Amino acid sequence: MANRRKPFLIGFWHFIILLFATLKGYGQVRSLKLFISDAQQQPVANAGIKVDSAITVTDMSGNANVAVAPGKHQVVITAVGYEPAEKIMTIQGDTSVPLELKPAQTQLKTITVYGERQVTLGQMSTHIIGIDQLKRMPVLFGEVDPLKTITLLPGIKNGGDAGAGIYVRGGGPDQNLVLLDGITVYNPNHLLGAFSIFNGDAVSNIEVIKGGMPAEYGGRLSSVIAVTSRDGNKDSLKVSGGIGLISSRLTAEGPLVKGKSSFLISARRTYIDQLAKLIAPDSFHNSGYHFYDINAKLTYDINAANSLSFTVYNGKDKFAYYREAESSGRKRNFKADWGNAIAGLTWKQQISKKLHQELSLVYSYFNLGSNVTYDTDGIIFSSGLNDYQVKNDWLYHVNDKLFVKAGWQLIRHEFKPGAGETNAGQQEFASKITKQYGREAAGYLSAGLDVTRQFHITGGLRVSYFDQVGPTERVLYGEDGVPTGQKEKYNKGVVIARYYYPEPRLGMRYLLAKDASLKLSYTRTVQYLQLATTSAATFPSDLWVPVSKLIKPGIADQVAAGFYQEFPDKGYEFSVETYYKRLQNQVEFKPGAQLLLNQNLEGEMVFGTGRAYGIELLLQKKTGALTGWIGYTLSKTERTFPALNNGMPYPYRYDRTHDLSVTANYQLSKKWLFSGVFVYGTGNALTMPGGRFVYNLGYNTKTDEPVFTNIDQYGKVNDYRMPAYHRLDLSFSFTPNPDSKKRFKSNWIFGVYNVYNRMNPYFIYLDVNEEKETIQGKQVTLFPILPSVTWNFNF
Amino acid sequence: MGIILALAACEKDIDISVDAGPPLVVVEGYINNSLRSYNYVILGKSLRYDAADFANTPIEGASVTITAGTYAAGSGYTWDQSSKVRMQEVKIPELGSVRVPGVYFDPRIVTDSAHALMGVPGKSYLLEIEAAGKKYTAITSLPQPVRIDSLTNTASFKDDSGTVRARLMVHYKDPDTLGNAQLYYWKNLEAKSTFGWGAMYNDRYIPSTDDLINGQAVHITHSSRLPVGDTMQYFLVSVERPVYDFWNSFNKARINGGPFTTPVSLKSNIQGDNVVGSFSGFSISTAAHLMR
Repeated sequence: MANRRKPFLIGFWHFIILLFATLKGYGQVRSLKLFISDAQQQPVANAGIKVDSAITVTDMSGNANVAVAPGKHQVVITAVGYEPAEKIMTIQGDTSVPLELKPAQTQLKTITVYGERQVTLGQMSTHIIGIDQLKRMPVLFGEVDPLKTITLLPGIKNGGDAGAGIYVRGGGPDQNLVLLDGITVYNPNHLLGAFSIFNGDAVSNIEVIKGGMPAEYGGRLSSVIAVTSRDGNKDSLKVSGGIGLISSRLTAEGPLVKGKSSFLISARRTYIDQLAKLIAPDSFHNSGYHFYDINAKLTYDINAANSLSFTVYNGKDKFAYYREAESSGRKRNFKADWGNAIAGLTWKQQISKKLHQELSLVYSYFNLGSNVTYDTDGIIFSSGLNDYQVKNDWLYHVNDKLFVKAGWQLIRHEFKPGAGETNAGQQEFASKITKQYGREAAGYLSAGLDVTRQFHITGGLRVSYFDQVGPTERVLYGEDGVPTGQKEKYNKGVVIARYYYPEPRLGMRYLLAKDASLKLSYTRTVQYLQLATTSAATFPSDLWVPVSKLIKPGIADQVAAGFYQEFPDKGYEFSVETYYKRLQNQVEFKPGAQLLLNQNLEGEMVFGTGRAYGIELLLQKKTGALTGWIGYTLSKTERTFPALNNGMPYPYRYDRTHDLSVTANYQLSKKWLFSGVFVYGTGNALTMPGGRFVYNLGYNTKTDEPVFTNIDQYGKVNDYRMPAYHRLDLSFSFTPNPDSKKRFKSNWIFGVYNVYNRMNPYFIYLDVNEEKETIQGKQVTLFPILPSVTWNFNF
Repeated sequence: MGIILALAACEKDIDISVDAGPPLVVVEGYINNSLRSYNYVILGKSLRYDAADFANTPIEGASVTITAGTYAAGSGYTWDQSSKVRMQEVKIPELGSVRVPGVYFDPRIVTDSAHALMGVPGKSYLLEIEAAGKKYTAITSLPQPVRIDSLTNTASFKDDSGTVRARLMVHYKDPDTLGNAQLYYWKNLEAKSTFGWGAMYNDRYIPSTDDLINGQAVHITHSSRLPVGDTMQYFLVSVERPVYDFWNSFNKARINGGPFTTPVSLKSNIQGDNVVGSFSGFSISTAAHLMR
């Protein structure tokens, strides 16, 4: 009986499906679901999908949903590091199509290196760089570094060699929202900024938004730097790695349930410390530095509509310095370790053909522990922060002309501004700065509409909210910085300070022609956390502090306009963008502020405003054997603080009048790829002493000589300019058997950093020799010419 | 960083020319309750950074007075004009009876030292200076001194020259009231060849406000290695916060330079145009200790 009923049932279902399909055929919209993958069936995130004139991008799982009318449609897919694909599709009912992209480097003549088409993209001031492009960039010690690479784009600057900060359009280093798979990373650096924490082997791409920030992002004033990690291979086990001069990497990936779920784990460790001990065992005895990091990602496709992904990162820097004076036995010891740990679980759901949602649970942790002993005196210092976050984002494609996005997030912050105690000697005291707690929340609604074929508008409103809450107890200080003896005590959950702001966002694009467009944007962004730092190098003793009664949230308003032109026959793309940014409630520390173990940190702060404006030119060559870009920025960045520089505006430390970067990749042959980078930038602004005087006088009556200390006298803030920074880096990639069908593949990367050995200033100082009565300016350079070699493999 | 610097960093000479601001009048004044001859005011001038001169450039022949008074909340300072002392560049025996230009003392130090100027805890002092037609003023107050519980020293050790040395330790209890600040000075009673606060030993590296340690028992080991057998005269100096802030900024300013520091300006408590320095009220408890 059963056998006989089956054909009937199948027929019945076919009938029902056909009926629905036919009925739906009379509706206006069909859903076209695309799954974009590479040859290994790995999803390609952020691929640009253009269906007729409608534009969208794939999500992290390589999925994109487009609402289309029944009929014939032209579908064009572009993605970083892949050949563009074009298809004519006839859509009858709702359709789901998997599409495979060919990697760009397989074809010598028509390399499409990097990706997004600036002309048609609705969003402005955005760059996406894929891992293939990142890997071609010559870098310090051969370490692929997404954060270093984005500083080669106009409007994005670094602080010089080993300068940790990234400065986007005049903003501070704490004004960038650095995300790894959507999880906030508080300290994205290793080795005081010489390397970022993003291991090239685990990265899929990096996206940076320096203006026109969409409403789904917030909490930082100046930019979004979003790193997407790579999904593991869903079909077979793969191992890859690299052995370099100062570090090695190893990555393993593969399926957990074939075709359904995958894992990727990637680890890296430097061995400068071990090398140093081999070279000079005596001088590096008990001293050393190393860092390690581990990235892992698990993905699981529950069914066609639901998937889970789990991202984990853990990394640590360990530094030790030990010196023992041979004769006196005086010991100097400094130990510090610091690092981030982050974890995030994301559930993605395609609820219907038009509606998609993502829900994330996120944990982020940063901690620093240090231990300083000098002979009998010693101190242990620790600081850190903990974040717990829930985030929910919704995307609704109303039709092929209109999409709506909405979402919310809640973050609970726990700040440990510092605790210290002595562990050695007799200087016995324990001190603890009270923990602080904050609750941050935001909600947003935005919509993008193709008003006409040419005119696209995106508008959004984000509303953000921050509470500084108890439990906390703090001593009250008078205006003169003297404790009043009174204490404020707040119980758990009691609100100490509360702020909320609307943040309007607006973006417009007008297509002048097929290959040219104009864009305009306005954004307001609000920031509730500040990084407390006084040093030029972002040392991990920096503290994150929340807004409070005294510290008001930072506010930035930015307007930007741009013109974009493509020359598709030649493979060129040109853009020019100009921006004006106003910053309010900016925080600086008083010169010589006490940051560590200071209960009255707020008393050391001064408040002011800033402004930045500039013009950015970018010419990219995207196809052909030679690819690359030339970026140039002309800009000015100022700060005005009533308490500094007599209230007069002064240049921001990283004000850079001229900033030029040239990158080039040239495929010499199938085996050899050449890459080069040249950068030039105006020197950093610096405050130098104009005068000096003697102080703390005493007399040696035996020799009839005075004893005293020389003190520098400073005039205008940041009035002095360091010499210009410029550098050329080259690298050659050699693939011995490019056509090999073997599973095991390898290549060599030979690099030279700072080819012409430019002595770029790391810092400068005035050397005063009181005996010889001479004063000499000195410049310290960190990285002279540095060759590197790395061997990479995968199987 | 040390390792990276050791591996790669290099240094070269460069020319740095900077715009010098206006020259500053530099004031270093003290009023204390323990050492009469250590109540003095030094006046000097700042130099261009690239000037070849490395000694003090004194301001001579200025009018310098110190007046005692009291402070009451609400009514402010009341100055006792009869207490006004005119300070002069006199020759004092402790400085070999030579006139040191720019160093101003109460002349009674030489003529009637028992009645020379002396600070009193709880009182305030007004410093008035007139030099080259410009006026400068400063006010400081002496808090109540904090009692030294005891002085001890660490276990002794031999240094590279074979001298037996040890480190001095001070023990005291921070008062229960918040807002106390201390400076630590000591001198070797055997070697009496120095004069002035600037020539004393002091400890610049200890956080010495009680913001975080209010009311705690404090035990400090000073890092100076002192010869065993010598007797140390110790001065536990209690100061009001502006004076502490000045010396704290001074200790930071004297180690300026390098990539990890920012320019530090002194937190001066002198009023006037283009002037820097401090008028420091020191409330002292003193004790002696034989290094063992």
